[in-house]
Amino acid sequence: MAIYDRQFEILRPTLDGLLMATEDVADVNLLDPTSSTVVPLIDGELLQFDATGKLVRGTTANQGQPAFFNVEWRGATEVQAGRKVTVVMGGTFLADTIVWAGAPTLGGELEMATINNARFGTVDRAGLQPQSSGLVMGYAIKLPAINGGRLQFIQALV
Amino acid sequence: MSVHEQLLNQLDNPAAKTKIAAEFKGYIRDHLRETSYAEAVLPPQTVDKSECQVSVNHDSLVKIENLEPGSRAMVVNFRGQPRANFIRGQRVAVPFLTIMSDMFEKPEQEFLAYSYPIGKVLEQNCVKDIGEIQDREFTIHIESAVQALQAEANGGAVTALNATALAGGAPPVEFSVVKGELARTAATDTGVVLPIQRPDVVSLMKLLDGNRLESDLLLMTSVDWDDILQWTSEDNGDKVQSETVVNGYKYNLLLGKRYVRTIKTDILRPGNVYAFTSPDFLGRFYVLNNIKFYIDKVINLIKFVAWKDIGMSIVNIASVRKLELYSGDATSADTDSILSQVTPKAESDLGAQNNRAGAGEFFPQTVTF
Repeated sequence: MAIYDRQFEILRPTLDGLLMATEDVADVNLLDPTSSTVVPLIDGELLQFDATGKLVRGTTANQGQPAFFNVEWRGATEVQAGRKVTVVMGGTFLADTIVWAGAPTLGGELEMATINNARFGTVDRAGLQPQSSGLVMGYAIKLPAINGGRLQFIQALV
Repeated sequence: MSVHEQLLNQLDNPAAKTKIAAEFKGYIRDHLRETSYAEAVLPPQTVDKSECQVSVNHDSLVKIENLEPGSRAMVVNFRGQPRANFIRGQRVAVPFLTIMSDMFEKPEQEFLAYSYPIGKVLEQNCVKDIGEIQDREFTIHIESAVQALQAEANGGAVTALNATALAGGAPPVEFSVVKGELARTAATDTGVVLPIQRPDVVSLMKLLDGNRLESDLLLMTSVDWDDILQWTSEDNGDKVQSETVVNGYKYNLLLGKRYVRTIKTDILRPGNVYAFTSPDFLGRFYVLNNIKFYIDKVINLIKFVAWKDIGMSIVNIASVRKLELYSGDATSADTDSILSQVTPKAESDLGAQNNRAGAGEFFPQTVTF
């Protein structure tokens, strides 16, 4: 298990208090934990719907559109077998994540972007960074320096 | 007393009215619901967690299946020795997943507006709905299996299989997919389904029988099955022909093979006929948790949902073969743009309603105010 696996944790509320949706992915290689074709998804990455109604990894180019947090652990076999991913589509929640970059400030707004960090394998992933022009995805509640390297945020897209 | 008078008398009897409503089912049905055909091809086996394996990387379950090891024999001289064979058995992991119904919900007061047990009807139907998704997954897997072998036989590449290619100078190898006789000679490459012929079934069986396997069961839609009733005396013989013209085809076997037919033509699309070996050559279908129901009432809101945990795997992809009764290409190349017609519809499009009552189409039309 890589050090960046299973590092996204929703602290409040419990999952039954959130709107969780299981949707098809456009590229099933995203679900292959050993894929050499694409960077496999990890929990905490942000996904968006494409024109066919399937989920794709979020990108900086689509910052202005809603994105949803993936809660599936990398390699989960029922995810691979069903070719679907579960994302949080609604409800405010508080969570810890390692899929962040930049220099977030306490209470600062966060946006989705394509980021790259040694913390999650030095590959491009869809995560959080301090907001500049994209849709506000959340607000920093606890900074990584005092949270074991994980950014604690409250999700704002409701 | 005439039957009509009996009925009128019954309608005045409160107890009889309940019975009559039950006889009329209390509602107009929309479409037939059928049990899972995947379970007919691969009989499910119940397992529990003690038989499954877990990963250190996630909390999903798999069940490890062992495959038959390879072996061979050889002629050896008196002074010779055999070849060494270091024993190694292959294994595959059968993953589990959950199939879940909608979460049905309604305030209890609104249930009073229905003269039949609508909740009970939905409860029964959602079990069949779960079976339909089972069938959809199964159909996707068997199609992947035949197309994987078909690509391997054609140089490792997805190669269009249509009437045009088959008539060309270098036709693709029909290793795990074979076209029907009428499809093979069609003038154009389309998704139009042509009637199944007796030689088509034989060609399908030979795909398995020619690979040291034995065809055991055929799967087809009722639409394709109906075309068997068009077979002539040359195909059936006079005895069967005279029987079928009156009673239809009532035998349990077709050309010596068991068959399963389905009305779920939005999952197994017409024109696709599959042949399978016996289940122990084909794969596994496990039930980790059979249908479970959850029902809850919060203040006046009643809600319920059903789900089932299954594991399904086509372990030996050589144990399934396909007959296509249309001339167009059904590989992932989709050369003739027919893939959407010949592959299972999306989950959200399954079980589409037949009735149009919601759109105001019922007759005679009356307006209540």
